[in-house]
Amino acid sequence: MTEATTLAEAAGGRDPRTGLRAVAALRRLLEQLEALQVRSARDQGWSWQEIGAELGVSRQAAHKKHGGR
Amino acid sequence: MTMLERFTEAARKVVKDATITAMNTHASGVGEEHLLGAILAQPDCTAVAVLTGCGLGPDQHQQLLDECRDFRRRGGIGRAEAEALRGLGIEVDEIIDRVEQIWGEGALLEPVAAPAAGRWKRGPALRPLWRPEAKRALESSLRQALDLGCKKIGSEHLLLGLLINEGVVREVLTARGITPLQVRAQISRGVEPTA
Repeated sequence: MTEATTLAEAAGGRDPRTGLRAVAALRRLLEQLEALQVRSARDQGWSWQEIGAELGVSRQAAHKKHGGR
Repeated sequence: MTMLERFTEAARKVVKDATITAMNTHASGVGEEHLLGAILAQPDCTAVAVLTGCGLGPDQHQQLLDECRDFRRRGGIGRAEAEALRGLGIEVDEIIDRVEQIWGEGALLEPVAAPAAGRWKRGPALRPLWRPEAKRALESSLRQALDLGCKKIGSEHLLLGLLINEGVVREVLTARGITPLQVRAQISRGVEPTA
């Protein structure tokens, strides 16, 4: 096995389990960061309209997802 | 018989102490780590003996709880997941460090999944919310006890419940090679729990 393949495998490039796990973890991290940023924006007086615009979703969608906090 | 009536005295103390710790530390809810902490705080309980039997002695208890905290601090991302992300060039710890620099320590401490995070239920008595994972662990412990032919739920069944369900305790214990099967094998079938 060449060194490059070993490296790629160590990085989980081709192993679906590692790849899927990374994606799932990334999604979780993303959700946490989104919640944190939205909370911060709300604290600074941002409207749901503005938050939605930055997130690329509608005002309703932003509020529905984060409004309960 | 309600679930709490099935608990041994030690198991009941675990639930009570976990609740108190969660409230004292201003956690958004009672989590699996609070249950584990309450188990470990009872050196004479069966669950601690089972863990010792699995090679996890009392000298490692604190480290185990620290690992739980790190897991929460990373926003519920475990060691294996962090490793997988590193494969993509993403350093989770670096991200968490930066986030904490801006928003303070523990900014990502609480998983988003917890409903109504940061709120305690109002009622006649101030009652903490339970994280869904912790609640599931309690429910599993009942099933495990019944499955092992016991009417009562002991601390060992609580431990098994924590280990069977996805969550922080399962994460840190399986990372040390402690599996549900291994724990289950150490619990006597059909012998009512005492502690």
